[in-house]
Amino acid sequence: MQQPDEGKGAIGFLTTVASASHGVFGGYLLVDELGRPLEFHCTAPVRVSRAQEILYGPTLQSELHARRIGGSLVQAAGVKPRIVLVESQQMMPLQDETDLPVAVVDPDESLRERFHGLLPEIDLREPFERIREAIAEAQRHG
Amino acid sequence: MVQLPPPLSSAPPREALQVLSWGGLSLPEPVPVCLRPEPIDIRSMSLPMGLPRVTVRSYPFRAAAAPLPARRPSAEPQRDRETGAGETEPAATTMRPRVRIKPPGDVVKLSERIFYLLQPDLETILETSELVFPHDPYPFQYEGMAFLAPRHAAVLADEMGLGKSMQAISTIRLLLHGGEARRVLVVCPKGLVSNWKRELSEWAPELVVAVIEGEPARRRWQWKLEDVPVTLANYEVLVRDEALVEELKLSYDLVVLDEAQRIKNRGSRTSEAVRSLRRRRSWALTGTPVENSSADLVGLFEFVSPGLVHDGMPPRALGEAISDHVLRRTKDKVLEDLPPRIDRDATIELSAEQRETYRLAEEEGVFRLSEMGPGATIQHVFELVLRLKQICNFDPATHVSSKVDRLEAELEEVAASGRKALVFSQWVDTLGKLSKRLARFGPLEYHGGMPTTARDEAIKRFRERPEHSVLMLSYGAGAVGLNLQFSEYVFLFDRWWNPAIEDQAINRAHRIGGTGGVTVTRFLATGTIEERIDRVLAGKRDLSEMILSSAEGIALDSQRLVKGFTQEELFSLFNLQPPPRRAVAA
Repeated sequence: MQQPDEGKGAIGFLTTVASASHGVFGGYLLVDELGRPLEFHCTAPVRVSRAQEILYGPTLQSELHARRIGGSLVQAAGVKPRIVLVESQQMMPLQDETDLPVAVVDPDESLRERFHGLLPEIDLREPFERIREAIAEAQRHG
Repeated sequence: MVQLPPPLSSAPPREALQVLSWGGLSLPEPVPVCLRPEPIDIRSMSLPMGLPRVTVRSYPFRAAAAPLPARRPSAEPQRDRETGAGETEPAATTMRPRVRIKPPGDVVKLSERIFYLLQPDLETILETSELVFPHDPYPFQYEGMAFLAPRHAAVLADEMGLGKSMQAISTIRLLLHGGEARRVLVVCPKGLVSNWKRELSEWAPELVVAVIEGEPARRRWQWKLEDVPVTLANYEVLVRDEALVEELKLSYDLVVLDEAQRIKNRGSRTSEAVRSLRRRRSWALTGTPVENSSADLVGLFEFVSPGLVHDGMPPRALGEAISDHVLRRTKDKVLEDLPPRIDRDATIELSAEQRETYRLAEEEGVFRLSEMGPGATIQHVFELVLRLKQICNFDPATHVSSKVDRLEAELEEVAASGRKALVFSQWVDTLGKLSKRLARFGPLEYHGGMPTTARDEAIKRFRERPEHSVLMLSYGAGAVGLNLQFSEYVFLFDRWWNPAIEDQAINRAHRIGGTGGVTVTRFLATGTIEERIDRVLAGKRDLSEMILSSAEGIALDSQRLVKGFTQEELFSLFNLQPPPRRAVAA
């Protein structure tokens, strides 16, 4: 794990992408207050067996996606962001793996009110699209 | 009693059953059967609950955290510039997909491709930056910037009037501010140098620009200038100084060729000179990448990406090879973005000969007016204005004309793309001179000095014959009554006194609600009477105060012409005081 750096005004965006043929990819993008990338971390695809899927049942998302993948990504980052934003409630167990604040980007932007002054004036959903594109590119390159 | 193996049935065992058959075997009589289940052998299996190990790949970008500088677009739409008459809403306020920079096909390293993919959209960068655009670019111009920015080999082949130079300048600015380039060389035709200077000062006012011109010693000094981010040279100068550039071992992060179709002939000195430039990136701007054959394209790519294509390639293979390097938009493709009429101001710097003739004529004229004192009339001032305007068109002794140089450069593209252009002038004499200079474009004339039958024939030929790319008209004859909507370009070689008359002329080609866009280019000689008149007219918004004239240009009635132009305004064109108590023109 790299030494955490105080990324001035940095925001983290973390999401996972499931691929039927490869497994689950995780992506973590750290951007500055203007939305420009500071760091990007992604995982190699993680495959779970059918038995693990059955046995973990509905808890698989939080265990694999949030704790394992999310936790690994957050730990790998050199920049310490103000907040880590995720796309769904199922990713919230990530907060068990880090002392950083974690929040779900909500469609009605109430998040901005809750974290008044903490979030930059950028589209908070757009960076997740970038992560998905970067993961797709990494997937294409094997 | 027969002992049989237990049946495979899951039926519950019974102590005794009467069976008549067993496994297909018929029994002679019912036989009692006793089923005795065997003890169940319980085997356990353990599944590890741990999930697979997670491997993380990291891509830090902190070293290049600001690859693209940003500018805050003003709310003002483009107006009277390369692409935009200000008739549309600012692009930023309309709902449309954001423009993202995509990695070019020739970038193969994954980390570099990811670097591009993780950049925010251009508009976001620009909106959150401290630098500003003078006008809000159109969406397709953002796309042009996103195309150029990551490319080392690029051809921006937009149709004339869509703002190729503005897109190139804005991207140059992005690269310079992002530290991706330090020295940029722009090469353009001689007639477009002043236009590039103006566009650079408009779209990148903070950039220092060195223009290579003048005597050899001066040019040597200019080439050697360091810490100048942008150097501007014309093709002729570059050819002349080829050895000098080599001797000085000049090297550029980016070389941009404007009107790059000039290098299609690989054997030409121009092509050799540009190809010998040391450079990391090569961009070509041209509205007509293919004028005659695919060989034109091969010639262009000898500069852009040497060896990528070659003679004899099948068209399909050629197209595939260059597809990632060429971006072409025509007006019909971007009509949603564009206003139906695009107004451009083409500022022209007079040639040295014209400049000297002009200076002498103005000094002499002003001296004579001053000598006249109170006896100087509006008519005297008006005659001087006309004389100076004529010099702005052509040097009377040498017939040198910077305006024609520029017009030729523009018409090359019009003709090569099979389009039609209208050129307006105040003087029939000027139309005649233009006909000689522009002979290769098949010019036709239309003015009041021609019989009606000849005028009709000119219109017919212009409409029907592809070899006639240009129709040259006088304002008086050509401003009304003609329907030439198939013409997509209008050039105002000199300016009429009244914008309303200019509009009438322009409306020969442009009709509101028409299907195609019209690009209107107004020529204006900088530092001359034309500029001063333009300022006065621009300041007048009330048409009733405008100069009133609808007569044939050659038969100007000076008294009618100056109606609405106050005496003070006319005299102020030469910094002269009007005589006292002179009546103001009505």
